[in-house]
Amino acid sequence: MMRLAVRTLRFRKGGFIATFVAVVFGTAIVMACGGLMETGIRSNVEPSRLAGAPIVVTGKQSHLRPGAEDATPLPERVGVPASLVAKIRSVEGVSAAIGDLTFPAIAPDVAEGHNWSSARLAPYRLTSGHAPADGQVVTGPGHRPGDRVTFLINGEPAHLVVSGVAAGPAGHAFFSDRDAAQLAGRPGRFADIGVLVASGTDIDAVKDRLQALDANITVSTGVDRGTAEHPGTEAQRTALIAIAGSFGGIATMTMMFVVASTLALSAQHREREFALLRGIGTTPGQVRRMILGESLLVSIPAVLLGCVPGIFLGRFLFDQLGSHGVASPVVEFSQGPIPFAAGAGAAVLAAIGAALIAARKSAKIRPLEALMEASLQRKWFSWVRLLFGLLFLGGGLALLIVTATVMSGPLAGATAGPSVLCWAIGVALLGPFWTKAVLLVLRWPVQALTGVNGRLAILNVSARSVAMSAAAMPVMLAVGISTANLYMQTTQVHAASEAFTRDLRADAVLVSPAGLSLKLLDQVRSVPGVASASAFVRSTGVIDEPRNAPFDEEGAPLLGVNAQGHDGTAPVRLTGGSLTGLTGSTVALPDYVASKIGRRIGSEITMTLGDGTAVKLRVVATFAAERGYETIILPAELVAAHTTDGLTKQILVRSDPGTDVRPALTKLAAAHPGVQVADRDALVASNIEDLQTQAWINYMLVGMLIAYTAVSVVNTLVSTTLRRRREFALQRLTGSTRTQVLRMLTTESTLIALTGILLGTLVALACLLPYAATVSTTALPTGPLWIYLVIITTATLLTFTSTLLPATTTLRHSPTQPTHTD
Amino acid sequence: MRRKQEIVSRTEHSVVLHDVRRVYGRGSNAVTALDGISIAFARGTFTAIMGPSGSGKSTFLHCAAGLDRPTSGSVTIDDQPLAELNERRLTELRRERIGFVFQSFNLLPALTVWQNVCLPQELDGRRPQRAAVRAVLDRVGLGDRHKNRPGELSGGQQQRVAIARALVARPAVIFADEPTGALDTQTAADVLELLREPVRSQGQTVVMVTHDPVAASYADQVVFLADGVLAGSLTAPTAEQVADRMTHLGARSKLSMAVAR
Ligand SMILES: Nc1ncnc2c1ncn2[C@@H]1O[C@H](COP(=O)(O)OP(=O)(O)O)[C@@H](O)[C@H]1O
Ligand SMILES: [Mg+2]
Repeated sequence: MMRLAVRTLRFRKGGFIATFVAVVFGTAIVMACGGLMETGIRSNVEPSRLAGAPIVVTGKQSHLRPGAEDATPLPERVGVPASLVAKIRSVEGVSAAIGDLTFPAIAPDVAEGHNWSSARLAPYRLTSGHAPADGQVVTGPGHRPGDRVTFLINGEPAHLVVSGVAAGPAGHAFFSDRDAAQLAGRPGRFADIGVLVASGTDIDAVKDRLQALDANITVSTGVDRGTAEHPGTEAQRTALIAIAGSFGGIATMTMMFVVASTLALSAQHREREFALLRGIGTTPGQVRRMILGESLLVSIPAVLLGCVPGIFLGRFLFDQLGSHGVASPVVEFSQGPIPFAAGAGAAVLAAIGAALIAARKSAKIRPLEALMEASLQRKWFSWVRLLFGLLFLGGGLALLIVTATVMSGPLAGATAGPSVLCWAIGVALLGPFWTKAVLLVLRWPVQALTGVNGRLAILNVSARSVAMSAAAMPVMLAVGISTANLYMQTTQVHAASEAFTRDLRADAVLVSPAGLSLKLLDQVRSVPGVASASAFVRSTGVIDEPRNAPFDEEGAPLLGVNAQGHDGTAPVRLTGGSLTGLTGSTVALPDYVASKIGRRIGSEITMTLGDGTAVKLRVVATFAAERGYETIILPAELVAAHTTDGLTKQILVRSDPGTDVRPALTKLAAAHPGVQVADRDALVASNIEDLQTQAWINYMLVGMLIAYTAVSVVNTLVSTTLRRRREFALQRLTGSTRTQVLRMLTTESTLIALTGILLGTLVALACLLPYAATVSTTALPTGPLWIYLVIITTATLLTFTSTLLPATTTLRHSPTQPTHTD
Repeated sequence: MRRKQEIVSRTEHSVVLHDVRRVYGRGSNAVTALDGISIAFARGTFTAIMGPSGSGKSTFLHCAAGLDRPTSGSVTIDDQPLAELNERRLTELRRERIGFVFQSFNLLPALTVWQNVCLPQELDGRRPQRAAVRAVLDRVGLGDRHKNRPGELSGGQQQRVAIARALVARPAVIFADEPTGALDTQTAADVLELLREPVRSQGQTVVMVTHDPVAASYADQVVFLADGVLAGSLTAPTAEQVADRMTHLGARSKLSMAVAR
């Protein structure tokens, strides 16, 4: 049967192009996702500054809330207690243990400062000069001993003298141990501890012994040490794995869907051929093997071809994720044989699965069907189909109700996303029914507008409503899925920024990546026209006690602000207490959270902050917050002290009514290197950055889905049109001019596009209306209209070109020679 | 499961139908296409089946050739009752002992003439006998067109390729449904000669449906069908005799319809 498959393929290349393209795409995307996932799992961050230490001990970057199942990743560097150094030294096999301090220290070519003793961990070697005493620093080449260098540390300039120059990884400066301890600002804690062993020691054995010291430390060797230098990579790693997983899953499913539909279509169009084969003595098993053979012959070269873009696509996606802050740029992209196998395997499996489904049907064809003229109307209805169609529609309805009633805020996407798929599949399964319904509506206006040709087209599509539905359904899928997903994004981003801006009362923001000092805050407050100013720090934490706080394992967003009165800048509407006492160990809670955990003003809660420190906090205020956008408000100093860099990077300023304080602030900022003045919009923009990133990932996903569904739209329409060659020839013989045939087809395409767009829009609305009602204050989705216009224009153009182009080519032949090849 | 062509049959009938009924559809719109037909075709004979349109000729042929299963009654080919066979075994029996020439759409468009003719043998897992294929193609006058695809041939040429395909496997019976229906007189004569020749030379059995009295006159006997039942036969018919009978049958058929109304 393989030979027959080869011969058929050679003859019918066209019919298999869509399958081929779908498999090439699918392989590339699945492989790229596999690469992303592998990168996430491996998280290869080459150790550089700690490369000289075979073992690195760090704090555990996650926190298990009492009673919770999953640990919450901690976004800030946890660090290790200084007392651990002595304990590590006494472990058998350890020759030295060196505590490492890390803090931001900004100067030309320098980003981080460290204690000089940790220079051994790279190791750095002095090329000139000597070790730093207090007030001195060792830098990389580019300075000379004796130079004076100004660093920005904690928002303040610090002047130091270069005592020596050391060769080693760039970007780091070394301070005396005493200076470093003071600048790092976390007494009694190291960022990490580098462990040296005598050569020939069994590193794994030492690692096990170290791990046994303390359950709250992480002991890394080999490539894992890189994450100790860049603690943020852990959270990004989880994000990368999650994105690659969901992206890859959807890609695989879409590939199966498209490959199955292209193969099914080509099998359906060759029913007579299969029947003839059966008639001249081909057994059902042989027909099945032939179809399977064909799909393997198509998919295997396609898989091989798909691997080429797959390699580049993975790297491209990773770079994109990196530049949007989702993936850490220090992580190396790695794509080994596993993603290759996954991509190739998924594609081949998809093709085989799809071929088996198509073959099962084709093998059942009775030989007699070869003798019948292909009938216009295939029986489409079956009880199984009705059952599944209703099940999917029911599922869509259930998800709609859940979205509208149970879900809150940003979480609504979790049910709204799948609901559109349910609606779309349900509608597609019962396609002919919906198509007929739409045709009934469209019938009169089209007939009135287009006259004779319109009537012929209407007759045509009504007589062929099953075929018509087969053509309109891919259009419906593409329009429905893309409209729903894209507007879910815009609605969500809009709602989130609304929720933030509604209460934001700042008029200007001071920003510095190197940190803003308390002194600067005081200076800002004394600028004439400034009503109030407050630091603004973000992090993530966990409410440990009471245990029923309404946050998931992602943790609760923390916001640090200064104590302030009614004229403050904090983006909240107080409902109880005040923020004047927000100092020390205090907290302000959203109403919903407070009532959920049964705490009121004056009572206490226990929280774990971003770096794993547990604190007891007294509730001083409660405030109203949009459901799903709840943030916990803490004193700015408390939040900043428990972040990796310990910096306040934003100061919010509110001016007296009618005054513009920005010129004065700009003047003030000019005196402080690195400080910039931004307006309210910049703050809003930076607040929704996370959302934008999330949205961007979804755009990428949706883009892929659209491209895929477009393949199936084009494939369906082109092959259906080509199959109607004989019909067109007959029309021309009975007196239709070429233009008339084309005009009839144009009307048909219009109907197909209209039906697809109408049904797709309905499907999208079924998902968007409850979604918008949940995440925002109105039921209407928000977002630019042009997105919808682009979607429907593209759908229409695709429909027209894939019908009219092949028809034009067909009509070029003389009608007296209807081909025998169909 | 190699060829069983050599097996010598005990009876002299290749195809035997016994009380075959075929009803299409169910309930109120049931159509009885064949209403209890019993007939046997002797080895080495050429039979034409005739009857007015809608009298059940095609249905008869499909049931006899194992392409369709009768609602009741039995069909036996070379002493093998077809009802006992599952779909795969039935297909294999068709491949080994039956050749079929359809009215149209006989050839796979993807294959060349040569490949189309060889296909049944390949399906059977045998190497095509090149000499035999060439001989058959020469006999149907297409020896020089064996590299062409069906799309490049005329209707008569395609029909001749289909006959070559049926002949090359040397089946016990060849069934043909209006093989000359779409052909001009001269081409039709060529095709009929091709069908008659192996009956004489190799003792093959041929059953052919036609509505053309001239075509029927090539056969050894003509069997008439009307409204799903046998309506007599003629041996060594001439075209005039057949045409005469047909007019008669047509009138009767119209009459019965009028009565039914
Ligand atoms: N697949 C079918 N379904 C229902 N009725 C059929 C089918 N095939 C044939 N018939 C009916 O059976 C009768 C005999 O048909 P057929 O054998 O094709 O006649 P003939 O070949 O002599 O013209 C006709 O009345 C026809 O309408
Ligand atoms: Mg017939």
